[in-house]
Amino acid sequence: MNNTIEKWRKSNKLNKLLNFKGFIISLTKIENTDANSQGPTHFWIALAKIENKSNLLLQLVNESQNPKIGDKVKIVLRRVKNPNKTEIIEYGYKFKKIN
Amino acid sequence: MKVYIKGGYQTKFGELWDKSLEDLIFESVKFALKDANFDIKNVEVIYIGNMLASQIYNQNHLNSLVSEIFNINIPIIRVESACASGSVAVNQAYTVLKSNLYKNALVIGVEKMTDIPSKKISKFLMSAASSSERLSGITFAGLYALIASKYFSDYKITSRQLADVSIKNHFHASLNEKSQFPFKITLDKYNNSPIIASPLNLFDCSPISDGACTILLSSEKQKNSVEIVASKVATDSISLDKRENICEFKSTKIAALNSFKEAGIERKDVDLLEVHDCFTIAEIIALEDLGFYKKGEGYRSSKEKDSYYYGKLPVNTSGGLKACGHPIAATGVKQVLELFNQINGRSGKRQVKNAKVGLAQNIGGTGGTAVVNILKK
Repeated sequence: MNNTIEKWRKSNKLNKLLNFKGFIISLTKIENTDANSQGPTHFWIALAKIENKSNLLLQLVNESQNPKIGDKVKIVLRRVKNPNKTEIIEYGYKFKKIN
Repeated sequence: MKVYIKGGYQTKFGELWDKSLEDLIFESVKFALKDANFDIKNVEVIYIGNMLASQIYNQNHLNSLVSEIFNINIPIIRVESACASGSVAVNQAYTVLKSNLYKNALVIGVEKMTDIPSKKISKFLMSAASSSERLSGITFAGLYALIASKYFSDYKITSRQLADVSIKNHFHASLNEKSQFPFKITLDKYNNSPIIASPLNLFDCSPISDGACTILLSSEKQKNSVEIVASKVATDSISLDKRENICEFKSTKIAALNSFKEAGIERKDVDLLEVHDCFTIAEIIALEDLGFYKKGEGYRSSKEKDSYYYGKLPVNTSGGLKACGHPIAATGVKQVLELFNQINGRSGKRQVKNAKVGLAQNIGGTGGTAVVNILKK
């Protein structure tokens, strides 16, 4: 997503799923970062069943240690990309492990 | 109206640094026409499958690029359906001949991927996924890793069963001089390869490849012609998280069901398969979705060596996407050409005995598009 207006349009919907809870039904640790990312060399992606909603695929926040299938998660707001030339900091959903 | 394949040609798949997109198109068309003993002046329409030229080379409008290469002015249509672009191109040519609008159609599948860094290719390939998937940072290896992880959890298989698929496809590729990786691998080599996206390692993943493949379809039969008795396309949601069950591809199941119905044949009549093993788990799931194995038992195909060229139901005798290579849009056309060659008894060291009916299954994205083509002598 590179267009500023598209980012703004998407940000208007970011409160819809915030704090929803669910549990992990599938999980992978990606060892190669994508072309846009300047972030860590690996990160976790989870597919989770969200309460009263369909499944959702999101990155897990870094502090979620040793995730596994069945773990409970909640949806939080985090920075999802580093600022580009527009200097817009892009936020989106991530999963955070909860007890 | 019946539709036949008259001939075809596949370029070598791999890192072809000395060949451009145009070179690949020219080579595959020239030798496909030679194989079919056909003059390009008699081709009435061309379908060209391609996914990435617009992103890698800023080259849209492949239609007129082909026109310029061959100095022709017939209808030429570009087809894009991610990794299923080639098979959808075959399907479109089949449909137009079936409807009797034309008698002779050329199908080209081409991709030139190795001129740019692999990270950029990964990014471009993700244009076949949804925007929310892209935002998560996931790659296609990651998407299929999620499928594998869920499959492992539900059906109690491990990477050991994925290894069987990879070892078998490399074995077949070792018998195919056109393959990108014409060598065998051992279980040790598989086990010692780096993880790309857990649980998938390097030898679970198809490579980045250059290559082209062309076939000539015709409503007129000639010696060595093989009939396409069915060609069906089905679709599903672009997002993996919108699926009810990620351990199967609904699009493959629908395309298969409709293809068998159109062909009027049963699964027991099929002699060999070319299926979409972009990642090893995809081959196991394809065998189940196509109805050749019960759910959770697709791994038996390679474990029990049924899928070897000398086995009960050979699978991916070309080496598959894993080892023959995966130049995106060329793959679907190559699958069909492999079946054509096998049925005509010209597959050399990997020849399947008495092959008469073959089925090809090609996937776009994570099953957002599926194509099933069935060939019969």
